[in-house]
Amino acid sequence: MKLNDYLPLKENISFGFEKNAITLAIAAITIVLIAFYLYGVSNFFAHGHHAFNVTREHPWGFLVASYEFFVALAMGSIVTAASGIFFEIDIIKPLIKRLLVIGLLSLFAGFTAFLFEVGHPVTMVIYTALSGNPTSALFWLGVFYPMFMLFTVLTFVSYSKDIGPTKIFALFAIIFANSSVLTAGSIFGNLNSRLFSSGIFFQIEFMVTAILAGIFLLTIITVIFDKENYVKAVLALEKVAIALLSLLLIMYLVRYISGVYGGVPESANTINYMYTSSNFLIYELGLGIIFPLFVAAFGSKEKVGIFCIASVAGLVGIMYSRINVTEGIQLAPMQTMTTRVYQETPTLITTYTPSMTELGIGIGAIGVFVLLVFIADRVLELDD
Amino acid sequence: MARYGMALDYKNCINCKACETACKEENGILRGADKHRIWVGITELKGQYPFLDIVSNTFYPSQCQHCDDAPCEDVCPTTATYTDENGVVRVDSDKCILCSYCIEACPYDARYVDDRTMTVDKCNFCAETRIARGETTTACQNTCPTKVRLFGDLDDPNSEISEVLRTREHFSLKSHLGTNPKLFYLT
Repeated sequence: MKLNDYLPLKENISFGFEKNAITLAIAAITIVLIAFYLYGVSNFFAHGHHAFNVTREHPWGFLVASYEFFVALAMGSIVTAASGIFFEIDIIKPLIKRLLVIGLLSLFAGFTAFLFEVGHPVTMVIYTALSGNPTSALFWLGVFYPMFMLFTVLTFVSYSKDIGPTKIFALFAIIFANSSVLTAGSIFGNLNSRLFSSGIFFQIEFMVTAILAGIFLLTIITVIFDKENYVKAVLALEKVAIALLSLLLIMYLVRYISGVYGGVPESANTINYMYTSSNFLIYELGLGIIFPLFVAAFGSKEKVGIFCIASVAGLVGIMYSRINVTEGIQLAPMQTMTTRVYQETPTLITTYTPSMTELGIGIGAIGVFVLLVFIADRVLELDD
Repeated sequence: MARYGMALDYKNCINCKACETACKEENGILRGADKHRIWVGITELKGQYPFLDIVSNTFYPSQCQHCDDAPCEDVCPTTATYTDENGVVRVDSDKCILCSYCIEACPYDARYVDDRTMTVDKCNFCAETRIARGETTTACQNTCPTKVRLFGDLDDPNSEISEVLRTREHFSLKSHLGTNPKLFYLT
């Protein structure tokens, strides 16, 4: 049994790359990000969770947002690729293998952030298996993600080497990808104590933004790797992006109206605070939705260059959407009957700023992801 | 088996914080303002000087509500949070993975991270200390100079707490969430 029987390995593996302004800039940024990641990890091992700026009132921080971002990338990439297989969409076929690998590596990058957020990751694996709680969304995430990864790997191997029931594997990859993202949204949506997130908004938003993240990432890859054979698929997916971005805009508008005028002070305070913050207005709304929507709707219908810039902005926006949901659910303090405990300042809003350690691990994971994608590109034959 | 609960005659509270001190002493809680199983919340005085509404400045002693339908228990992925045979919501620190999901889910902000074990900790009605030794009161109840707290078995119709809850009006915090707390504020 050889590895080559199951994986499309390249015959001549080389880690050299064409040096131009863009590739050199990407290489430099990646090195800086990986150094930042290592700084964060070393700080974590020196100080543990005390290196994080999370508090009793704000226990989830930047790493949760970072993890949710990578999950979106993974789901978007893998669902696009697996749909190409299952529904036999010809224009997607040239990029199926690359998208599957990128999705898997995105999941891995997400775990490099999430493992530091959870206090006892080994205990998590043991007791999720031994005494898992079916009423917990986090438990189901632990069930669905391994299945998601398993069927993605099976789809990749099966598709690459033409062995096994590829379409069945692809179908299960789609099912478990959607299950995973819906469950990730449910982690927030199932919290009935947190009025900002309680309900079905974030499950839907996570799914829509995940597919958008896949489209954005594919566009960036098409331009950076200069993949002429991807352009047709990207132009088609750009139209899907227009529909999804429009849907997001409507969802955000409706959330504002029901949040502010719904007659619940805690919800109204949070929505008001959120919708007037730069994190939302500039990044999540401006960069994440309006700019890509404008470019996709009114930009060139034959070239993907400008949409690539909009895609970078879109990914930044999606990252901020994850930051905003993580922060949003914790903005309203829970001790609503009291305004002071231990002489602390009365507040209606809980504040949080990520520490350098959290930023190092969370943002640095992007560098890890880019490095893994580069290695995969050099080792595996990802183009048909 | 009992179903323990607590009634709080909160208007008697003088904010002496003896309950917090006793809790920390009895259960070995770390010092520090954000490391507490129980606390006394304070509402601000209403009105403007000199027309201050002195009655509006109320002290609310609080802690884990030991909900019958505890949201923290529902969300715990490893069942580290569980309800014991006496109806007390407790944390098994061996199973806790510090995902902090229970802290997010708790509507009462009753949970915090114990820096020694790096697991989530909360009030357990002195289950590992006083109740385990066979005593019938919690440390906070035992020390309270104005008898704010009354701890006992809600299923025993002859217990003092059952008698008080039968005869006095009371309310629970955030009852609209359907958590069915076993802490009752007497009015």
